[in-house]
Order: sequence, then C-alpha cells, then structure tokens
Amino acid sequence: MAEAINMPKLGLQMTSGTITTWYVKEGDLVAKGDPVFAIETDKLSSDVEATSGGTILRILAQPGETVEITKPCCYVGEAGETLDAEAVEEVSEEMPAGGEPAKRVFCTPYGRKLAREYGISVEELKGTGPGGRIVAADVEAWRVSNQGQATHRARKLAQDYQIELPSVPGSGPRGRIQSEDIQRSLAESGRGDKEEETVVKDMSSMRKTIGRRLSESKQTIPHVYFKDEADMTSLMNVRSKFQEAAVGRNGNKLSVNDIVLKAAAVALSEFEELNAQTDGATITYFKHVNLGVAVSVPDGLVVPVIRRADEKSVADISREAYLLAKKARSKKLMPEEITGGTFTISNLGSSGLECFQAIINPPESGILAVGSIRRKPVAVGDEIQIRPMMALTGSFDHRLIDGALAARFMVRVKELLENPLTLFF
Amino acid sequence: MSIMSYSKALGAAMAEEMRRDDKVVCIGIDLQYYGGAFGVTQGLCEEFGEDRVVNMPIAEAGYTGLAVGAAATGLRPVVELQFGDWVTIASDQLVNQAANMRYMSGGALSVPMVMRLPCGGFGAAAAQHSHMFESWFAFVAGLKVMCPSTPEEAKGMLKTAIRENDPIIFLEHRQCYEMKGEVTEDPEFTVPIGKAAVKREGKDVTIVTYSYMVHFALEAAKILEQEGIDTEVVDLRTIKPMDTETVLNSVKKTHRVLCLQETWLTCGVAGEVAAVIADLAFDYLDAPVKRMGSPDCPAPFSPDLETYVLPSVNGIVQAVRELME
Repeated sequence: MAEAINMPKLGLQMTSGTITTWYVKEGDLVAKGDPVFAIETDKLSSDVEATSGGTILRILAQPGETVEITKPCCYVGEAGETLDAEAVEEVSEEMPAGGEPAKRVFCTPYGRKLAREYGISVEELKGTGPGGRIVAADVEAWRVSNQGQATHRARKLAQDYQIELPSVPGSGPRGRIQSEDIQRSLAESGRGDKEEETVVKDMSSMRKTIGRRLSESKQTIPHVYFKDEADMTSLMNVRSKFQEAAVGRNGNKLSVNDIVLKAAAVALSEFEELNAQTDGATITYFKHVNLGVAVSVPDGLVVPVIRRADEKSVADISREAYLLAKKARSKKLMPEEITGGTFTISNLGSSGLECFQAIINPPESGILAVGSIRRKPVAVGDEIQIRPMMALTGSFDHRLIDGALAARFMVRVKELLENPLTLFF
Repeated sequence: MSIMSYSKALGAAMAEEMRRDDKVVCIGIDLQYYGGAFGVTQGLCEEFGEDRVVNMPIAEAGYTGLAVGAAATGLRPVVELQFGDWVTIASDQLVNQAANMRYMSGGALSVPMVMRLPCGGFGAAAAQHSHMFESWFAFVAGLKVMCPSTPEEAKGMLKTAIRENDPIIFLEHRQCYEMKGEVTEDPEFTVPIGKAAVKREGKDVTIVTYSYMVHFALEAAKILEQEGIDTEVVDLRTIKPMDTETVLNSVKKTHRVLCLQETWLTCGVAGEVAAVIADLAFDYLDAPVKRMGSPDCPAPFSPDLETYVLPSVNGIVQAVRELME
C-alpha cells in the first residue's frame, strides 16, 4: 500500500512549506529514515525523512513549490504499484498509521542486523532460507548486486584517486558509497595525504539557507552604510551600577549589548519609517518594535526576535535576549521566534574587532553592526582625552530609507548610548 | 610431555596433588589395591598408604556424607563413585549439605571436595550404568561441574578441582578412559575452571559441546569439511561456571550453532547454552539455535538400540547440514 510523505508542521504558526531539494527521484528506493526532500519556511529549513521503506512512486511538488502542511509531497510504495493518487490520499487520511496489519517478513536476527547496517529494508528481499526465510546470505547477495551505487561526489573522488568503487564498502542508505567511505578507504590504505589538504563536505541545510538568503539580500537590496562612534563612558558607569540589580533579578549579567538593544528599540519607536519590512513592492509598517538579535551557533547564525522591545525594560530585554540565545544554541527556537523582525542588532564586540558591516536580514529594513569598545584618544572640548569608544555601523535598505533619515537614526542611537540613564526609566 | 591415557592422567593428577598436599585423600569402593572399577587409583595406595586411600562399603550416601564432613573439617577428599549413576543416592549430601555449607555457616566452613563420577553411554551397560547427571548438579547453586574430554585436560582439570575450596562434581566419561594423548608432566599445569576451549576453529557453524561428545563433534567437522562447511567446535570443559564469552564470540563469528550433549535433551545443558545465545547474541543468529541430545528414554541395554538413541556422528552431520540450509 502506497504511503504519502506529507509536509510536516514544524512550528505552531507554520501553515505551509516550500520544497527546496529532492534527494531522490521517482523510482528510487528509500529506507525508513532516509532523507527524502528538504523544505523551508520563512527562516527554518529541515530535511524530511521517509516514514517507511519502499520505492518513490510519485513526486507531487517540484523544488520551489509550496505545499500546505499535512498535504502529500510524494508517495512511497512497492515498485510497479499503480497509484491512484486521490484514492491513496483518501485511504491514508481514513486509515492512520497501523490501519492495516503489515505482512510478516521472516528474516533471521542476523539478517535483520546486516540489513540495518547496510540500510536495506528486509521487505525488499527474497528469502532463500527454510520456508522462504531471509538469511544473511540474501542480504549479502542484495548488497553485492547493488554494490557500486555511489553518490556523485564519491564517484568523482574515486575517479580522482583512481579507486574502483565496488572495493569500497558503502555506509549510505542501502549501502550507497559516500565520499566519506572513499576518504576512509584512502586513509586506511595510507593514501590519505591528499585528503588532508582539502576536505569536501556537504553544506548543512542551515548553511544553505544562510547562503541563499544573504546572497538574495546583497544582490537585491541596495545597502547604504553609516558609521559613527559612541562614547561609552557613561554607559559603562551605569552598567556597572545596575549590574548587581540585574543579576539579582534575572540571574544573567547585564551586557553592553542589552543596553544597545534597548537604545535601538527606543530609536526605532521614534523613527516609524525605519520600523518596517519590505518585499520590494510593498512596505509594511509595524506598531511595535520587533528587534532581531544575531546569535552565532556552532554551524551558523540565527536571528531570534525580541517582540515589542519598545515596551520592555532593559532588564526584560536582557532576560529575553539571554534566554533566546540559550535556545538558539540548543536548537530549540520555534519558527515564530525567528520571524517578524524589522531591524537586527549584530554585536561582535566580544571578538575585539573594531568595526564591521553587516548584510540586511530580509525583509527587515536595516541592521546595526556593533564593534568592540576600545579606549581611544578623542577630543573632549579642546582637550584630548582617552575614552571608551564603540563603533556603530548601520546598513539600511535604500529602497525605503533615505540617507538623511538613516543618518538621523544613527545620531539618535549614539545620543541614547551616550546618555544611557534615560534608557533605564 | 608423555603419551598417557585419560585414566592414567587422572591417576597422575591425584598422585601429584597428594604429594603436594597431605590433606588430599581418596575415598571410594575398591580403591586400595584394585585401583577402583576403572583402575584410575592404581598405585596410589602403594605410595600413600591405606590411611589416605580409603576403601568404602557399597553405601554412597554414607561415604559421600563422610567426605563432606571431612572436607568441612580440613581434609580435601576426592570421592570416586563406582558408577556416576549412583550419585542419586549421594545427592542429599551434595545438594543439601555440601552445596549449602559455606553459605549456611556464614563463610566459617567450606567443602573442598571432588566427586568423581565415571559416567556416560556407548558401553551397553544398561539404564542404571549409562546416564549422565551434569544438568542436575549444574542447576544447584553452590556446586561446580567439570567434564574433561581429553587426557591432558583430565589431569589439569582434576588438579584444579582438588585445589578448589568448594565442592566440584567431576564427570569422567567412561569412553574417554582409554583414550590416549599427550600430557604435560609439569606438576603445576592446571586448566582453569570456567574456561572453555575452541577445539577446532571454523567460520560457518559452531558446535558447543563437552565431554565425550567433543570427539563426535570433531569427527563430524571432518566430514562437513569435505562438503565445504567449516565447523568450529567449542568444548565447554566446565559446565558451571560456564564460559559464555567463548561461546558468544564463536556464535558472533559463525552465526549458526548446534548445542550438543549426550544425555536427555529436555532441561539439559544444551538448552541452557541455547538460552544464553538467544539472550545475548540474538542479533548474530542466522538460523534457529539447534539442540541435540538423547530422547527422553532410558539407555537401552542392546548396543544397537543404545547407538540408535544416543547422538551419532552422522546425526550431528545431518543437524549441521540443516543449520546451513
């Protein structure tokens, strides 16, 4: 019986997802747990796995197409099975998983173990043991006859090193040889020298999403940049005064960035034109400030959003930023926690870097790149004094924000940072 | 190294241990100048005297009880039953007394004794002189059970048994007594308790067995080799404590196993081995675990019928062929 693989619901507010990649084509065999296709929503991307083993009978949506949640994206069943898509869909809705008892497949424990290791579904095999029982030899025979199936990159790598493919054991689904297998084989035979110079890996789906979104941003949004420095003398004093109170209340330290977030939220609430999103055709203005905070995670970057930041105190913002960053690092952010922002703060202060320019996180209107605080000689009146200075670099979408407006916004942020007491009341 | 029979190797083990430790004594029927029913104790009385090689009346319960008491109070008795079958008469002393003594005395007493049981079929000796009771005693907590299959192991294992501080049930197969083999003369050579031996390495199928059946399994392996079936033979040597590691390692290699024993299959050692394998090596099995032993019938007196009832080399070959289907 063919079974549908449906668009999953990955977040509370997810109503549909867009298919980005198919890892299989019609007629391919998949085992339970194999990644079948990749999807993405506003900012989230994920692989969808096969819920049962079998042949991909029909693919219903091509890359780029959007499918509503719980609607089928493809059907998996027995090879040659005729598929009446509508009937199958009805049946699968009426009869949830387990509706029809599966036919018992007799296979020895060792046969099952081998099949698991090779990623073969025993349902695909013909048994030659007593009473048609599948034995290890049947699994081995299947593997030998299907040996040499390899990923594109594995083939290329094998070609480069002049390795015969079937000599390499495959670790991929159904024994498919993957580039790692070739590299392991090279290392084992002492030919791994070349491997040390370059290591080729698949981009994670997070990296792919970051890459695609930022390329799109940089290629379609005319970025305009403004840079200035804020004198952080007062802010550092205020922060040290409030530090203890903040720790007492929230359990986390009050960071410079928490105060920068608050300053940006205040400034954005004053500059309504900036507190907006655009898709290139329309501009959406927001009543409240939803502020993105760039958080670096082990394999990339995510931007959780502090909602209604304009209504929140420094302490609230500090607490929320801390919790969101923690969730981001443990990959527990929900899709609704990383969407709906109008403006992002990206702070690389801890890196010690003086300043940098950031790429706008679409569809937001801008992003503020915050550098580290450095002690610098500055003119105070007619004197030269050493002051803690912090570089602020704003990137703005010139399609909706003109230079004069952006400049006024930057000056206002600087002013708030240099007179931080107002941010606390 | 010298060539020696299984029975002479057992006698040598006792002589060496009696020389080493004057607490070691031999107790049994006609041991002194007759050397016991199978000649195993020949020469011991001449060397160690009638005080240490003691003759007993036909009263298995009595002299086994005497040995348990002697062991608990400092001696190391080696008891020979004329036929292992009569261990049933002595079993209260073994099961209720010897096995429990250490535990019930809170560790104050131990029972360092060996019960030597000449046993096994293929002798046309009828139903009261042909059976094996290893599974009875392996079942009892507090008893250890050893079953050597070759002369050298007979010597090394009996020495280990005599040196153990707990009661040992030591099954000597009567068909092994006249088997000859190389035996080391090193008086410190012993075979550790609870350690099996791979008697033949193979990659296709494992036969787990012990005692006389080891020789049947090795014969069967030769025939199977001509058919291209590479058989591994594991000799348990000690039934309890059982060396499950060696058994499991073999099964993990071959994925098919025949658990072979001479005696009645029901509730036997083969079933215990099969259970251990099913429990701990389930994912490595490529065929059902097969058991082989005798049907639930007393050993026939007629040689033809006895051969029919007991496992045979051909029967083992056939069972392995079925496993290889």
